[in-house]
Amino acid sequence: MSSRDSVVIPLRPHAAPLDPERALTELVPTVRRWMWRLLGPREGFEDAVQDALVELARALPRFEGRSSLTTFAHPVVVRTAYRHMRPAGAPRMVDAIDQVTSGDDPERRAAGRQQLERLHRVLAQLPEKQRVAFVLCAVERVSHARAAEIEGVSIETLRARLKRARAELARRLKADPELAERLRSER
Amino acid sequence: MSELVDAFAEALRAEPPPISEEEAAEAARRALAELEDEDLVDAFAEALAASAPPAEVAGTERATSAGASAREEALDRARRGWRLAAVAATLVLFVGVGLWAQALLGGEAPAGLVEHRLAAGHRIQATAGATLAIEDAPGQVRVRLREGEAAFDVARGSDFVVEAGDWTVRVTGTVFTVARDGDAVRVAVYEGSVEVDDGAAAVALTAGQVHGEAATDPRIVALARAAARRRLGAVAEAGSPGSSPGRLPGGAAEGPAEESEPHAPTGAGGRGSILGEEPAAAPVEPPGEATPASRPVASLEARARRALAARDYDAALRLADAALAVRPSSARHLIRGDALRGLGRTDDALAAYRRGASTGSAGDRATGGLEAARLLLANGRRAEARDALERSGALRDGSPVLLPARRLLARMERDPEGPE
Repeated sequence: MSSRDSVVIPLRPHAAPLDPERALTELVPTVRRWMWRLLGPREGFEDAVQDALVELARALPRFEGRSSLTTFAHPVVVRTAYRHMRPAGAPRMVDAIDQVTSGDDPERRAAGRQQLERLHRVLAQLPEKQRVAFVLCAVERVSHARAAEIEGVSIETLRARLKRARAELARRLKADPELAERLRSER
Repeated sequence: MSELVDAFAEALRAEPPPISEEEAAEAARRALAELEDEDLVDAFAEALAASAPPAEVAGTERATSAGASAREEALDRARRGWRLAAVAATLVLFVGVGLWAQALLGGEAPAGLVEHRLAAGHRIQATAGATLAIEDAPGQVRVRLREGEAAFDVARGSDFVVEAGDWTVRVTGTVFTVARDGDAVRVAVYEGSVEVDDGAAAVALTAGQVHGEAATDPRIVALARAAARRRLGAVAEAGSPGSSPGRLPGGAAEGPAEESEPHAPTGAGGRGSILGEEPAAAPVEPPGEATPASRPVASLEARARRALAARDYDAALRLADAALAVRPSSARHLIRGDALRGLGRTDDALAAYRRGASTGSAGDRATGGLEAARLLLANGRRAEARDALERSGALRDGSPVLLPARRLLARMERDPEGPE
């Protein structure tokens, strides 16, 4: 045995490393779901997801394990979503909805796709901050306190945004009896 | 109507188009890879930031030229105390090599990352399947990574040499990556400098430089980035002009390990195991502190903030400029304004605050307005100060600086003629 080759580093599982690639990979489905609910099935959805992953990759070294990784990631994703909400004009919906409403019945599938498009068109008409407050609290069912934390605002501000969002949505749904009826019938 | 809105929310609870695990992993890899170029640019800016006159850059300087001139420069620095090398307690490098040594050393790693610490305080993190051979003696370590990839966190004061095939990388106090793909080797420097002998010629590399071509692993890049920033943070926090000088680039005076006879194995003292003796059973000191990925990083911006806190306004300005060159942002303009204000350059500081207030989020604008108002008020420009507060939105509901902005306004109204 030569002295130069005399020591082999013992290899055994690391105590608690955060493998960035693994962490990001595990976050991908959650990031996609958050982004989907914030942006809807619009063009550029996948770009927004990728941007969020880059932001998360950049932020991961700051993750100290004091919260869950998803708790750490949520504000980053929301901030990225804001950037992708900003292009003016109504978002152009994509056919990808087929994949999320797929079922055996083509008629039902098409109806589901149309409804989801309509829902997101209504949602996209809200001001950005109200939209995010509504998605966080009403769709993701995050607590008001946590949503305020994610948004970096006081809980009062968050509640005010949510209240305005609900009022505006109620007004718009009232003006669309067909959609309103369908929503009622599905409850 | 509330029920209808609830139904609307419920209907929105749809799932996105599904993707496979492979696609998710690929998305993660792409995100990590995207950071590599940014890091090299960051390192380049670091090198530029350190290229100010010597008297002003003692805390951050590093080798900036190759060959003999670099060595002379380093000697010069050592004489007057090379702060960076002296306080940089760790050296991290990453080496990826081929599979040729499996037969020589054998050994199969279990799944997952692994960690091993040597007696001198060096820490080595490796991927599963990595096989390494080291010569460990006090003050002198030589590593040959024969398979897999590893990260080395090397304690100050030791000569450390890494071999990858025909290439030899001699550490001179730095953070860098080495990737090997067959015969192809690539060395990228993130912080400090290294000397590379590629079998044909010796090359000195400084921050932001790359030598050779080989595929890189984004995970290694991410780890190197975190390590480099952590080390920069340690420099900023622990720097002291009176610290002992570090090793020299090239290591001529200290005698690099390359010319030395191999040392006897130090497996027992170093908590390693002797070849063939159940390597996996050797004890590994559990990490008693945060792992690299979980430690806070110290970016240029963070260092600029620390310099501000230490009232080192020259350094803060230089670092803020470097950070702005890498990626302009409102926050960085504001830091620059603080540094200029500390240097007594009121008009320049105001310009920086206004620049910061003109970009970024509403919160950034408000913060810039508040800082500009404070500076204006301190210089007796009360009307302008009030205008800056009002125009920036600092006094609006939801402003992150609402309370201090209101206090400042109240003070101005309470004592319209008095000083701030």
